Amino acid sequence: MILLPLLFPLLGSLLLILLGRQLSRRLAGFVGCAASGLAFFSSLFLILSRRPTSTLLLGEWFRFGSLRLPWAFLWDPLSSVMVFLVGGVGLLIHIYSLGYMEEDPSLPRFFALMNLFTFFMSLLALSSNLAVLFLGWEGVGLCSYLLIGFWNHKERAVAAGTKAFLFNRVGDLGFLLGLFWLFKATGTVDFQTLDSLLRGGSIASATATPIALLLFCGVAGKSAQLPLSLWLPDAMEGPTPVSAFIHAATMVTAGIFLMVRLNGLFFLAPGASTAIGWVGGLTALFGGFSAIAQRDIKKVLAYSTISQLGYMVMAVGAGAFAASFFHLATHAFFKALLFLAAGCVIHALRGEQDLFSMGGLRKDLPKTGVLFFIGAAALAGIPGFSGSFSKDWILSSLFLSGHQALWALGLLVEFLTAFYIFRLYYLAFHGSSRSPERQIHKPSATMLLPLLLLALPSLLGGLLSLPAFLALPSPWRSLMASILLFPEPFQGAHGTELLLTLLSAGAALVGFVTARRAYAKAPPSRDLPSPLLEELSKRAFSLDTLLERFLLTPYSRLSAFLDSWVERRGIDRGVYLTGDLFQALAGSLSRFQDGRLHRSLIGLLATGASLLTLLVLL
Amino acid sequence: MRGHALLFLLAFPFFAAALVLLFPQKRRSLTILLSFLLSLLPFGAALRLFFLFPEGSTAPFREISLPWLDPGVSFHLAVDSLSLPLILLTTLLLPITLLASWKSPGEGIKGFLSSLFLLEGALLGVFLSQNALLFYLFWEAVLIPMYFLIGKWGGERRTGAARKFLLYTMAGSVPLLAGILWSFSLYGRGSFEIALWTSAPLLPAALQKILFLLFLSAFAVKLPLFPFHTWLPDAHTEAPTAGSVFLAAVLLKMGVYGFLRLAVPLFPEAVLSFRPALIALALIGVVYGALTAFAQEDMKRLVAYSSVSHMGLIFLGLLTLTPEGYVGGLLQSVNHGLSTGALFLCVGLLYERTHTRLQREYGGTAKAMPAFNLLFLVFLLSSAGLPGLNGFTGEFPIFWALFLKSPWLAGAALTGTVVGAVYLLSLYKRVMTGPEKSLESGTRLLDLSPRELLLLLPLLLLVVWIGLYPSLLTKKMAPPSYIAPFLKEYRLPGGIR
Repeated sequence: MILLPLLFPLLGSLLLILLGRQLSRRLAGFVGCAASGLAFFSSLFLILSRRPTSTLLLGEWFRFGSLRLPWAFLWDPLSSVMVFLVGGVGLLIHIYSLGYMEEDPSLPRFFALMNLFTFFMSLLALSSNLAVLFLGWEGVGLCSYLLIGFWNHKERAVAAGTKAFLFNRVGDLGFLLGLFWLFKATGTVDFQTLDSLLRGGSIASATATPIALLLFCGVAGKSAQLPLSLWLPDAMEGPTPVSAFIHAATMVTAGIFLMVRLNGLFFLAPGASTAIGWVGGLTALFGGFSAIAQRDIKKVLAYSTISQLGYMVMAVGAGAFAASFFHLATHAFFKALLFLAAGCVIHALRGEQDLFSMGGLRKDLPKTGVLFFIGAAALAGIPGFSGSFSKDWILSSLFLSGHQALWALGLLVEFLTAFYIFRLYYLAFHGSSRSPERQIHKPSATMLLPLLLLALPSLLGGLLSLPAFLALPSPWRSLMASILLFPEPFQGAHGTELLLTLLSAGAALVGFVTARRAYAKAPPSRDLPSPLLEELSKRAFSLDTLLERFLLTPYSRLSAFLDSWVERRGIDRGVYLTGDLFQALAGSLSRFQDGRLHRSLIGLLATGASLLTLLVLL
Repeated sequence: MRGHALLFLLAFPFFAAALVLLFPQKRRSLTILLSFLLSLLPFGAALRLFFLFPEGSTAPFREISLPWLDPGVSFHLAVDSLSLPLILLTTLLLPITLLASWKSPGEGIKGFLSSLFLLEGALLGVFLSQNALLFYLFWEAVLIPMYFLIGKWGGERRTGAARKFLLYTMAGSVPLLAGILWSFSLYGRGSFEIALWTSAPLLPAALQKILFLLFLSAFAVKLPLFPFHTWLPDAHTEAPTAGSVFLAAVLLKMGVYGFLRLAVPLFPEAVLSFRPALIALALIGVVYGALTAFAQEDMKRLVAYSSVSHMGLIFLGLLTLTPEGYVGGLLQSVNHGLSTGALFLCVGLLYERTHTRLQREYGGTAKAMPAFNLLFLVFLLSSAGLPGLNGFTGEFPIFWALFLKSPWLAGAALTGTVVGAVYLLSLYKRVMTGPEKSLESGTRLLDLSPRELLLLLPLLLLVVWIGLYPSLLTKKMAPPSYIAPFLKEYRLPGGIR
């Protein structure tokens, strides 16, 4: 039963892969959406039927000596929320894609990959052990790779996909080592067994710390944390629904999901948590600052995603798992909304992504404009919108858990967030059009409806978890209480919490007003006060150039050097020389012996002699 | 006697090799079709053996021993859990490669087909022999058909590559003969029976070391172990597709098999004392092979160097001398045979269309060949070790075994594999994506024909099946009784699973 959300998208994708070219485009789109819809409604049904926590075993995957890993799936509050999110956002984006990808000749392949992604993402969410989770983890990475490079005639798109894949592989190295370490230390990678071990205190902090850090490498790859963030902006080469679904709402949050899943382990590794908190904080700052001077509408949103993921990671570092996961959920809705709205703009302008060629769109696309504004307000944390609840919760947790420096950083990023997102909004929708002869391609209802349905939770999602000082029932907190192994160690006086909330609301509003002043009429000549800062933001601290210079170029050079010098002119040359040597030897010997010695006999003697020499040397 | 199945399995390819020569020279398709049908028989026999083989068995199965030259040299055949998967792989690949040879080579098709049957027979002989002299005989016999396959039906530089292959591997295997003869005298029972040797008390450590090096010289060349690998890129590249497939999929596994069948049980102390050096060489091979592969313009050369990398990892797994490393290494041997074999087939299919193997001559192939695109991608990902496909199920236990030995070692080997993804993805990117290039004649590439689909589908099926359910093979791959005592088990802390 709990496999239904997996089964439908898998079937859909297999059907589309095998028969895609035989189906009409309409039918292919229908199959894709139907599979996604069935997945969502089956997860909804499972939730509404109040299915208790249960595991499902489907035989063994590995059975090699000490290595025994079953195909195991877990239905619990955490996995059900995640599957629900993936299914819900996924369904809306599938429907949206019907309109957005209407004219694409490879529509069946698109839906096949989107369905396959839904399958792997739900598998990741429903896995009951780290190995099955890793299968989902790699599967979503594969789909991401293929969907970024979906327009595979574009070399840049394929290169971006490859980059994403490789960055993730680097992170996975840590993931696998962490998995092995965990397995060696505890004898299990099953989540429920681990929870009981962690609760019973049989895992020491000295063991938990390296494991947490290694697993975090994987998180950094998947959730684009520094220094593995660089693939996410490039990933925007993919179609916009892909950016919305995979590179904003779901896949990139898999890292956060993993850490919430293993919250007991991360809780027991305070040293690792501090490091993780700072990585998250710096990533939030890096993303937020780099988003300011971008001209490409999708790049702004990509850096924003990096920044928001930084928030979630920062919260995990402070032990605020519930707040982190709540931000994951609200972010999934409002960031998907923002991307899809941006997609409407790009679609309307037939591929234009440069903000400075837009302007005045609110007259041409009034509904999109309003919906985008809602998403922007939620992202910025304007009081009342969903993002403000989750972000304020993170910030107050940071402060109350004694991470004041991170809290200040978070507050600064909150200001930056409001600034860059409203800069985008005003550049695109206000002022007057900056490209005179533009023709608007109005979005269809299939595209606008998903936006509307995403705007609702972006507006109201915060009600699920009201701040503690209101002393009202909070379903999210009671849900999380059943997931968290250890109670969150921070409780502040209501007055402090209120003050903190006011401060962060203030930061958001200041950002909003600043952006409005600067961009509401016409774009200023510069985005940032100093040219140096402007360049830094535009080039995202030139990290890509550094990567190119210090990693990629040396890699190619080393590879070419090994091939031409070590391999061809070194080892292989040596082989030929040895051959020549024996031939010459054979020639001189045959003079004495008046006959021919079989070459292999010479070879035998010579090789025997050289091996004996080797033996003596060793 | 139930062992007759083995006799049939071994004799049939030789019989078929002769029979093929009687087929009509002019009816090319008919000749190939008949050979294909013939080749299904040994596969069927191997499959039957596989199904009958008891799960978890560590003893020889279906043994047959016929008197031969001398009481000490009997014609002794058996299959066990070590040889079973390799026999299955060998017999599976013959029908596939025969289907793949429909168009090329152009001339002397009968000789070509006959050589392939001879090759199969010799390889099966290696895996079935329970007598050291018989083993050696087949070991060397493998070279002859392979030499002709490369030298007669190979690419432009086939003559040089064939000679290099022959001389290099012979230089490696002559010491093996010396070692076998020496062992014969040392064990002093007047017999070449391997079982007698392995049940005898171990030789003194110093002798073990010398003998081990003599044996190893043959196995290291075949594996290949860095730096004894340079015959491989030339041979793989110049061989016809069928030859490359057998080279990569099975010939390299002779090194794995020999190491496990003879070196570990006979010279365990020597293995232990040389282990650090061997681990270092294997690890260098993993990284070096991957880095060198990245620099190759020729697709076949790229896949060839990827084999150097993969085989290094397999050998690393075996060198851990743990049950996980053993099963992982052996399973990965099969996996490597399937996915690298498939990759060579894919490159061959492209070559038949364009007559070039250079990556820069390709671009946007995915568009013209969507079905091929899908299969090629799956095989590349299987080679890259993506979970859910077979490569992962072999690599994962190897890494686990390495991790138990030393986390640093596992980290280094993992880094090598991550590096490995680079050349595979760049191959895919350059050949399959980007702006579409058309042929010189201006026509588009044709997608897979039903025959081509048929020859790749069984491999695809296995790649996925083993990826999801490796027990399919591993439940019949328990370490045989002559290896098990030398594998050290690791006890996990008592977590509940």
